[in-house]
Amino acid sequence: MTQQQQQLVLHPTPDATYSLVAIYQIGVQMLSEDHPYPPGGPANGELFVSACLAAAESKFLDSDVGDKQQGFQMALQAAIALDLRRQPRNLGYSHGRLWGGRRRQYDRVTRVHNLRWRN
Amino acid sequence: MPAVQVFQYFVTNIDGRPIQGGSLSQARTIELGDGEVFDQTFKVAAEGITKIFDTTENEALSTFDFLWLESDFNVLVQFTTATTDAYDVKELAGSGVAGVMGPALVLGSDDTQLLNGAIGHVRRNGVHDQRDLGEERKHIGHGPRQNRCGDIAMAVDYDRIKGEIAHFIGEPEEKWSDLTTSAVDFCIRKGIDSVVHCGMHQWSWMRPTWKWQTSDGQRNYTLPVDFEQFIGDIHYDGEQYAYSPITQFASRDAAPAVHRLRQHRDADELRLGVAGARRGDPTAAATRPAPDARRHL
Repeated sequence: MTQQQQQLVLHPTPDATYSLVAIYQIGVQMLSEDHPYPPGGPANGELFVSACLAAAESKFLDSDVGDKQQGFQMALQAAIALDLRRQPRNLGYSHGRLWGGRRRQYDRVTRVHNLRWRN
Repeated sequence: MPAVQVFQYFVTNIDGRPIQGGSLSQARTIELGDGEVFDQTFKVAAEGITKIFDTTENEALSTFDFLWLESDFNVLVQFTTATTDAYDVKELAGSGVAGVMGPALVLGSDDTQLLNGAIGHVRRNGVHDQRDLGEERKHIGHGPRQNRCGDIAMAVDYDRIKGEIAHFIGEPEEKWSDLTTSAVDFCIRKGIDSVVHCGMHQWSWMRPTWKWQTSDGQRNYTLPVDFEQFIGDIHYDGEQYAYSPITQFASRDAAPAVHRLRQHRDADELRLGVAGARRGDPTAAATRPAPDARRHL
């Protein structure tokens, strides 16, 4: 079984080169020799180490309140604080068009004006 | 105590999947014992060899805490240890343009691990320019180390996590039984899940941005390898940013449409629930699994 990728089907068929952008949710895979790196990049590597050690502490020592668990909770709080600082505070300039009018495309821009990313 | 603030950050985009690491806002701190800094620039002739430093000649460089080495042309850098005269040669890539430096080689200490397990120290290094006249700069801070940082950008991977768990349970991986291996895999899966679905926060790195360009007449586009689902609609970028966003249909709605796509030669007859199918700027999209091989259905 080889790795499968999904495809995007557009309609109507594009008649030119358009630049498109989308935000997507990643699918997290179990670590293996073929997929050795946890998600989140090097900045979150130690967080995953502490999380796995906390799980090992719970599994092998049958303890959910040990040092590893406490260490993981502290690392998690720090990582969340860091991640919040990395996110943009708003979604950009709205061109001053407060209401959509006939051209619906401005509705989207208006709605996101100075709104924070949802968490 | 003086310290060096190192900012490291990289970003790449492979097959539409953006990957980034490090931080431009969070610096790695390397403390310098006495705050001495050396900043030297060398001009190395093609096929030339230049000694950058020698601890026997310059005692002050014998225990550096931080080394930054960069070059505008490809050079070979030789590090020689003080204890056994063992040496290591690394290629330092330049940009290929005179005066424009390539990626830097950064060391957080002069420690080097020898094959016999002993700890040696870099005694001197030399530069051998392979191609053309090269210019090299290095910045060295040194002094008694308070916080050794031998590997600044240490990546965490599957083996590292297994090694940490092996250390924790006090049993090397080579001696794990099948039961222990299974339990460790469970711990890794549970650990990753406890971060990804921590219940307190939606991670920004779980929702990367995918940018791509359409081609005239091309309907299907392969999604990133780690794609699971879109968050919201697809938007136009660049000059067409004000166009209406592209609405995505659920896969159950797309399946009949894809079936019809196979039935009709004229792809414009594909209808994904919108009236007035036409050729133009996309207004609807659907995702579908791509087959991993040729299938007869």
